[in-house]
Amino acid sequence: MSPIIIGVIGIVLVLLLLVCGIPIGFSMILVGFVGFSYLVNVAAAVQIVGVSSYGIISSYDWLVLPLFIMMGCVFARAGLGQSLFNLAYNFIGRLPGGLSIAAIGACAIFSAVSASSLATAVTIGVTAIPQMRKYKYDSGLAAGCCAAGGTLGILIPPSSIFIIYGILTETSIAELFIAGILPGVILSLLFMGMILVRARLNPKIAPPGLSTSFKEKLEAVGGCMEVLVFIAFVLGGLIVGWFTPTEAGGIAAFGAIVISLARKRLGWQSFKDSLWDTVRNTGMIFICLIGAFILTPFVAVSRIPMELAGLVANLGLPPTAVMGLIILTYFILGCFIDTMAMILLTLPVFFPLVTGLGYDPIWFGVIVVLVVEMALVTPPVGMNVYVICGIAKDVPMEHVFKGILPFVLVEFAFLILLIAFPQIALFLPGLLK
Amino acid sequence: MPSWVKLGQLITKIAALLAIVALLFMMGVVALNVIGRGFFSSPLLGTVELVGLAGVFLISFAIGLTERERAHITVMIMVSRLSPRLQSFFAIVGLFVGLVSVTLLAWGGVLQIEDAIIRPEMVTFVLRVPKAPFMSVWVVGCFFIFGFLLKNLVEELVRIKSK
Repeated sequence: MSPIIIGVIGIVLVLLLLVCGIPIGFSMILVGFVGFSYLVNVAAAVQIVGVSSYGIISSYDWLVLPLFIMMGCVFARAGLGQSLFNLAYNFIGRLPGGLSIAAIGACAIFSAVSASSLATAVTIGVTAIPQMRKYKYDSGLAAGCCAAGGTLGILIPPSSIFIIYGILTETSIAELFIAGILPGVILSLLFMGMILVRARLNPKIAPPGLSTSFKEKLEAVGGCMEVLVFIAFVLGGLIVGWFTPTEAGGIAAFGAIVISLARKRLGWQSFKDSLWDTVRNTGMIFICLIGAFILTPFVAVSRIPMELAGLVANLGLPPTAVMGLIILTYFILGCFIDTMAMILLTLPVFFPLVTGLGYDPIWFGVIVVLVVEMALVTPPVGMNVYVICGIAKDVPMEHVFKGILPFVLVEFAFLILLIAFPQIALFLPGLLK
Repeated sequence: MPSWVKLGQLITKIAALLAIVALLFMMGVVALNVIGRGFFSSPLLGTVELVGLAGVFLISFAIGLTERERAHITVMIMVSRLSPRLQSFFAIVGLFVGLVSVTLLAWGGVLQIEDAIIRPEMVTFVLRVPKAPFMSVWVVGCFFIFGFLLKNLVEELVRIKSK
């Protein structure tokens, strides 16, 4: 059998194991090892397993992930979600659909302290969904906006997916973070605009909230002012080059603890819980990374990326059509497999192809994150929808998926916009060059 | 409570403590380095290496602790629709795959340790810390993961037998 057929069998096997409920990290380790042993030899495969696994767990670059995760966990346990929702509600709550718009606003701001989409959806959903239900909001809209708002967590920096993409493809994490800002803000505004239009057309689904006084607005700003300044400092420092990404992560985690303790929002139990959350999430991510680094050499020696690039070149398709096919692949995969698995499995194949076609790696990173965002809320495997259903137990999952649909359409429209106008993502990184 | 259960709980507590201490150590070292460099023009020597070595402790035990909670990333879309017996069957297959994978990781780790012992140049670049002890921590971490996988496998076998 030719290496490429072995490679294809290997990838199909990983997907099959995934569908059978086998943990993605272990699946990739096993298939990567067996495949590489078959194509090269067992001794080389064991070397790859040893070098890759120790290389990842002792890598200064990869250890940025637990540090940013820790910041998000500490702020979430310190009740920042409630403060951010109050802030957004005080300023935009009186608009039609104001509570949902406030939830999107709170998600967008929380995204700047959290590297995770699930954490964002849960933290804001816990506060916002009961409020929306209290004011008789449509249950689908209430749950849907938190699930969709949560996806902003991986577009607005810091973002775990950008970090993984950056290290895997040797693209600047700082530039990726900057590139995510404008699309994140525009997408948040589009979500808000869509809710406003829907609420105006059908006020029953989202009645306006109460207006608040200037004093209440000031108090809401005071409730999270230091966090907003701190976020600006950490991300600003990373962008202008004061810190490396790992240093920004360390400062972010340290600052999150100091701020939460200073405001007496973090008790001993919450602190322990936040550390435990961080450790658990770290273990979950790193076994996948180890798996990916063992699978990638197998994919490389099977020559799938090169053959695929050659095939695409021979087909004579225009680059936009190739990009369309890649996005379609991501969209289909995203319906069935986890986002992390999708990124780790596909990047070694797609990234060389895309850069070979002349596309900007930073722009492609933003596109990948956007498609991953959509995967987080599309049936049947929409992790954000699952966690939101865990919070809003009385809302059937079908209602949540129905409520999500307008947000997915907005994301899809924005994706097309981003493909047509790459400058949306590349404008800010370009300013710094 | 049987003594082996008590021993297991004690090991888990120690592992969790080591992982959390390593996490806080990493954060502290990075923060000290930035503060030292920014305010006193004196960065902490060997920050990159210290963080990397602490990372070995964090990740080695974090993966096992994640397995303890069975929180590794899985796709349950198909399996969740099957009968409980078939679900248990796939869970057992998954645990076997996990056991084999972790054995491979430990095997690779042991070869790395041998290599690090033979070659005197296998030390960190700035602080000249030998790498072999930290590679051993990773192998210990693999045994820790293996232990939880084995425990989960036994539980799953008992469950499938009782159905």
